[in-house]
Amino acid sequence: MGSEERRYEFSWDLLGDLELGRPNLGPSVGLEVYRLMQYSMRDVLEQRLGTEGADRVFFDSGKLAGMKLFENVIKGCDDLSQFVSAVQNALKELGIGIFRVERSEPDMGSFVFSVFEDADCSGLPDIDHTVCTYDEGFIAGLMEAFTGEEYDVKEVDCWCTGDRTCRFAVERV
Amino acid sequence: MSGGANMEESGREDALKALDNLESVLLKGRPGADEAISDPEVHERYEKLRDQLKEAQRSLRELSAGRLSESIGSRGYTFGLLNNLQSNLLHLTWQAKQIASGDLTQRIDFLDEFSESFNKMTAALEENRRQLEERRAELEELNRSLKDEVEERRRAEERLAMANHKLKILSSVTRHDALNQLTVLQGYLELAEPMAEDAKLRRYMERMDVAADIIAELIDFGKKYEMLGTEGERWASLSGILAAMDPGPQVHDGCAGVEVLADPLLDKVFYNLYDNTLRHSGGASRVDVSNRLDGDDLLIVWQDDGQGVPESEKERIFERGVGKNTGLGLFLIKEILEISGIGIAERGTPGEGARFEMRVPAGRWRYSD
Ligand SMILES: [Zn+2]
Repeated sequence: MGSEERRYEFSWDLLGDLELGRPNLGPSVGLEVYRLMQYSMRDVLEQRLGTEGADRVFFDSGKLAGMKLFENVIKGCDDLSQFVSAVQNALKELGIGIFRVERSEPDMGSFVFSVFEDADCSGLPDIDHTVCTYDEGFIAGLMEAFTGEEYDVKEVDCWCTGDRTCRFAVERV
Repeated sequence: MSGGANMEESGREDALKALDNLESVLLKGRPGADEAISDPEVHERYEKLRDQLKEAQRSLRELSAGRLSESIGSRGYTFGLLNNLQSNLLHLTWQAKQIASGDLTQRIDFLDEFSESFNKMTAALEENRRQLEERRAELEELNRSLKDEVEERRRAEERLAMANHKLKILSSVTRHDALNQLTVLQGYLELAEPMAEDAKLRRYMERMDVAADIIAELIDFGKKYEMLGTEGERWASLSGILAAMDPGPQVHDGCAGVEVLADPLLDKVFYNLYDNTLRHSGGASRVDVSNRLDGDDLLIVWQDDGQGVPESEKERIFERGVGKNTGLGLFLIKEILEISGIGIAERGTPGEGARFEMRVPAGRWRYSD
């Protein structure tokens, strides 16, 4: 792209005025639409960039989304308790999933979070790999926005691997 | 044909044996004794299923024993449920730790009855803590105002002690100087008396003399009154005090062995009673001092055979300024006794002598050997 001016640089305003825009249909769309978009896009990305490249794009997009959500919705949190409550609420309100903490060692920068009924994968057929790459990025983005430090997030269990819950190991880089 | 029938027969046997063993694992936790399944494929499938079942049971056992750290090894629906259970238990453990560390803001969602009771409990804890904090704030406020009050009282006491000290010095100095001047006055009166030829002048000078004596007594009273209650208490033998009475009307001591715990000025009580009899009894010839028990109290009685005290005077005689002389004698007696919790009243029959009864409460009197 070089010096070309950017057309799609993310800003919260791009989400538009939800109430004004859809007076009759409201702000929600079906989960299948979300997945339709995600998995079709994933298909094309994989064809163009390979599996790893597609995953990288998904992770980075998720991370950008996590940071923007923190800046615009969750905002100031004084401590981990407030952060957890706020994330829990936001993910519930937005229908993203049921967020829970399984383990936290803030001093070590080490956490285990789980997301039940994850929008990305809950109900998908069993396959032999985890799929919530976008969520990995999303959690990494939330953590970085909250702590100011970079985090590595790995989905260790996923609905898709037959675990019925998505579990994320979160470690400070 | 018969070979095919045999095959069918043994296949059915294998299947039943596999099912029996799986049922045994499910119900008893282990397979039966006979696991010999002839068909290799059936045998392999049987063993795989058996091991998964046992693995699921092992995981369940770990979870039910509260050991949550081991990851659920296998995949699939059943293990997915176990994984869910483990995740929930870990989450609840984390929540409990948060509560233990004082974080009462966490809530649990979507765990049905459990969420409800857990969230109620956390909310109740939070409310309790809020009330405790409120109470603590109140107590702190109370404590602060109490401290202020104590401090104010301490300052007041300091001021009082200072004022008292100044007053004492003032009265002592004043008394000393007044006594000196009085001695000068009495000296000149004594010198002047023989020179007075005029009968009227001599009468006036006698009255001056009497007045000077009264002033001396007043000064003496001031000194004693100031000492009252300042030197603690001590046990005093009544006989010891009575033995030192001046000869005048005879004092009959009926108080041998009686000791009283009182201010060191107790002897002044009896001197003043004696003085009172001497001056105001109208010619008493004897005094009887006796004692008797009245409940737990000891009653000490001072009885003379003079004119006694008229009914109308019985109360007033103890007031300051009432009396024929300085009016301080009986007042001082009452004050000295009162400071030690001893009451005094005049209960004599007018015309048959004065009778002063002193009531000494339990713990303030004793009989010595
Ligand atoms: Zn997942």
